[in-house]
Amino acid sequence: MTAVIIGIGQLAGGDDGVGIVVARALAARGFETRESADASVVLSLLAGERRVVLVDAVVGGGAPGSVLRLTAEALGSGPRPLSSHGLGVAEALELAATLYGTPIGERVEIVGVAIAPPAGSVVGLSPAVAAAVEPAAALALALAGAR
Amino acid sequence: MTSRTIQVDVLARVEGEGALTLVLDGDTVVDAKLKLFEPPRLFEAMMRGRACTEAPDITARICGICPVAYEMSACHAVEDALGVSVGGALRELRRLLYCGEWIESHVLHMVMLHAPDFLGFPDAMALAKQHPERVRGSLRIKKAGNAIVAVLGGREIHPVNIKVGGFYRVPSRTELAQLLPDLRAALDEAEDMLDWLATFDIPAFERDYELVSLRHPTEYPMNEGRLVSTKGLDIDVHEFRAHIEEYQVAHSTALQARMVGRGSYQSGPLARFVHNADRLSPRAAASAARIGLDPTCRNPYRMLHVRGVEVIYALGEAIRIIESYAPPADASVPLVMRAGTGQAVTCAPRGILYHRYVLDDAGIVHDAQIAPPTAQNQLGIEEDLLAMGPMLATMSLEAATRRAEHAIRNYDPCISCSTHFLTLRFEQRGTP
Repeated sequence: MTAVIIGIGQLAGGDDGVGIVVARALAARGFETRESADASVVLSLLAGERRVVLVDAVVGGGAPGSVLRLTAEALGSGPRPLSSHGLGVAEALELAATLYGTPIGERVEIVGVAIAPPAGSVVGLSPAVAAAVEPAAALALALAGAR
Repeated sequence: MTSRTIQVDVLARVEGEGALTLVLDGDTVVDAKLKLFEPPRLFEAMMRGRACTEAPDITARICGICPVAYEMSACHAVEDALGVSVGGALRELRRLLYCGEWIESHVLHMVMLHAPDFLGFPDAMALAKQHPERVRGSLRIKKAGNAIVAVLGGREIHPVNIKVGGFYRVPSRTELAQLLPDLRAALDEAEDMLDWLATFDIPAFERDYELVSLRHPTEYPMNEGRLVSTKGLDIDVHEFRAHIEEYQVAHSTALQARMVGRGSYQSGPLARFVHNADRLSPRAAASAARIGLDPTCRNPYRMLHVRGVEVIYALGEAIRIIESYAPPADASVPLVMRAGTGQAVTCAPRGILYHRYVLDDAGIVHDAQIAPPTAQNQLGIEEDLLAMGPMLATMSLEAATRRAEHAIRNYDPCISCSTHFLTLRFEQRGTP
């Protein structure tokens, strides 16, 4: 079965919304996608048997617009989520492994799109990140169906 | 006499951004400030000039945990202004929607945010490692609540199917009936969860609170009722502003609230339970009795248990509503715009949520007031911390800090909800 592609991000956060933009582009072509402002959707999908491909913006991943294939280990363990709103990708994966014994390496693929640190509330992608939507979508599709 | 300062720069496991400063002189807390530094949200100003029919969708954005509360208070306040009443199956569906929110909000708080305090874990991740089945179980209960909101609201977070007068679309019997197996399973699991929560050590602490809640003639309150308190308040919600005043403090971006002439009050699950324990379902009442919880309780730490009882109530109420549901002929009642002022109080998970809108004859909002539960509870939280001085003085700085944070989390504070503060006087001067 093809993996579910999950776009993570915040459209009002400028380039932070690139994961959502990629998911919508793929949904428009008929692929199964989800959108989430945080990674809580990931946790509920990993409680089942589904494989997932996450598409998220990353800061510190090179020049804005670079498309990267990441591993769960590479996400590291940043600060714990401080609010009941925010569940980070790394925390969601750790929680899934703890609670459901999910083999993260086999079930999760991560596509990162490098962005500059978000400057504030703005809707829309910068030209460099907008140009990365198609390459990121292509990589997500390859990872979703290739295995 | 030793002087110590407990400083928590960023409170964890609460919603939004806040800090705490406590200054102890010996065993007396001489200063307690809950600093809510989440940026002001300005929703009241944002509502001015908007159509009143936009109020539910705009104010839902105040909170991702309790958007239903904002939608319900907004709908009822606007309907009050327009002279509209929503009854029958539509009223029942609203109640069902609120059940979904209580379930998901309460379970998230009880297990993921508050239980680590009682069990000495730094966070939910550490709790999950030691008690994975408890956390899995809580996520199953929460999912049953989320599913109600998704079916009725169109999606789990910031539902889009709610409108003034009712809904855009009402569900079929089949759509709702599909929720029943998970709700029934969650109800059994919630009773088991409550029994687990009842094994936690509860710090001995009580205060003579003014507990404020809605009270309804026949139901455990959600959307309607009179506003009552343990110090004799018994008013129609239209008298809210004559008895409860909001005011600014320098250390917080949230307004605080107090009872005119008396001071702080507490509005939350404990207040709701104390005033309405006789309105619980037999199963929820039996659960409360089983763990020794009764309306004489004044220990804020036991709000953990009250939330557990309310989850049992909400699951049972959701099942009752779905089993007796017959779809209404119309998804909403018609609205005719007119000038007027509308007010409503509904029961958000964290306490009473007051909305007031002043409309012109085209239904445009000229003035809005939103008093969220956390803003109303803030003064009482600070007073809890002041009263804990002798207890905190006997502890190490680290233990006292943990205990103070634990005490704040009794209220499940939703900081970003409460920081809509704006300089009202300045705004009024700016109005031509």
